[in-house]
Amino acid sequence: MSEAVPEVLRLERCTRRFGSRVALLDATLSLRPGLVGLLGPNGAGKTTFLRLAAGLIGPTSGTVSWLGGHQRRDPALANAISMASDGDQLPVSDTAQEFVAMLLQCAGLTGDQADERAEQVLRRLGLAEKLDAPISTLSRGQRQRVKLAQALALPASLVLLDEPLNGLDPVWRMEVATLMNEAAERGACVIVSSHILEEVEAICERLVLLYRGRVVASGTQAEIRSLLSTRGTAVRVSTDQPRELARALLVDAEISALQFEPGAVIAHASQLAAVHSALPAAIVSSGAKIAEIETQGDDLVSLFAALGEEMR
Amino acid sequence: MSRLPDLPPITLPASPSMASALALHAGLHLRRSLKLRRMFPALLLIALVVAAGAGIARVSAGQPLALLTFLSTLGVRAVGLIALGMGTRALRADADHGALSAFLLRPRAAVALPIGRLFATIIMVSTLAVFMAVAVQGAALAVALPVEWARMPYIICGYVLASVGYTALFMLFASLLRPAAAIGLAWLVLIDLGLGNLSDRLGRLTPGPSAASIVNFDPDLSLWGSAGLDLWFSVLSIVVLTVMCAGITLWRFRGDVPE
Repeated sequence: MSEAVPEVLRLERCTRRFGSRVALLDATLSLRPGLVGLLGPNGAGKTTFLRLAAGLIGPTSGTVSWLGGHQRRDPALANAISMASDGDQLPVSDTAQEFVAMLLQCAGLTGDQADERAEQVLRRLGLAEKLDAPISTLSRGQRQRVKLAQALALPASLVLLDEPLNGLDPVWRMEVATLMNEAAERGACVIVSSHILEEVEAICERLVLLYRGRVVASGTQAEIRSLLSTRGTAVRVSTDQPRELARALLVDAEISALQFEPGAVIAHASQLAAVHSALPAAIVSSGAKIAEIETQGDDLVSLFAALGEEMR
Repeated sequence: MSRLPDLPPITLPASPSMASALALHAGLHLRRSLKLRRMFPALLLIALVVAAGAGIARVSAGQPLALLTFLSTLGVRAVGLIALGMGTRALRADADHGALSAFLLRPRAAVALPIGRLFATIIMVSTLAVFMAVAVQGAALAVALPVEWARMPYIICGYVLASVGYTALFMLFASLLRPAAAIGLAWLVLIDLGLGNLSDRLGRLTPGPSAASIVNFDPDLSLWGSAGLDLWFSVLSIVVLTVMCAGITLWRFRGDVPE
């Protein structure tokens, strides 16, 4: 994303403690319009990050600013932020339309405008038949869509969605992903938190990785992958002659270790590129027939596993 | 699945003024709360008080003044219970469902939401309290008990002040504590009834004893003489308590959003 595009959210050395527990530590980050995946295992600090980004809580130290330097509670941010929290987040005795319309009225729409807009967005999310149904009567997936409706109904610059795809069936996952894309194309920074890596990898162009309260990586998917490639990596090669192939690979100084499995050899190296460059020559010289080549440690699961090892 | 129609773009107005934000939150809360299913517990309580008043009046017709004093004091306790339900619900219901944060994303809402809802709740509780005062007197009339009209302004004033004080107190509880309703009920029993009966001065830390002394003020006594001092002290106690509670609630909302 170009530097000329305005910054939507900036965290400067932000730390947030709850008593003695550190939920977010020294986070520095700048986010611009686009779809951003906030990834981390349970307890990584994703919800704290989102609540800080929404201005619902303040940092214990450091600063958070929005849209080029505005501070929390600045009236200029009146309709700049919308959020769908994880959990229920719904008053069960209101109807879906009442709830969404009420929040739209808080954003400045008149009663009629708010009702009309609430109906539009709820219809878009497949709740046309449930407009007047009390939220308590809705299924989990329908409640999730009401929650998303209130966040996506506004043309906010910063849209924060905590586990937005939870409880949705595959069809609605795709539709919600489309809506998130539309918001990003409109110029919003849409932050989607999840602990399901594949889900976020498929939707978001940029990723922020949180682990134990620290921002351990942030950037485009390509940048994160290049980070992965500089970490220790391994390639599993399924072959009919694992010992011959291993012998040929040992000639290459970049290969740091070899490991045998039945019908396969795993080559370890400090960089993925080293294994990739050593493999063709080794295959040719050993004469081994290759059934499968599988790179281990180039996905986000492996990154989190590696981070866990480093921080232990 | 066929593609759903796109959402038309909307343009939002600029940030509203504080006054309009206050009016908006108060109005929304009133519109949301004024439904029969939500008012039912309060209306049932009022019906019980009125029925109890009529029943007791029938068996104690020989002591009208003592009866009226008893009924007025009973009414103050009922106002406390109504304010407990409505005051804690005003903040706690949304906080418990996690919906409060959706409202508080608007910068003005940190001030406008608690104060707007406080105003709205005071209006509802006060209206119900005045309705109860009138209904109790109506019930007394129905059983041929003489009504002391001169006391009515004091009864209504006491009920309204009790509504204001109790609502502010219980909304403060709701902004600070998750089990606000249980703590509020314990407060009504232990502090309001217990402390109020034990110590006149300490009893003024809670609205009940002060409101009770207002509703039971003898209208034949001078408002500006020594007897009136207690009345003004009671009014002052409730006003100070209300301002303190509203101030702390507001301060609570200026920081992290209550969860």
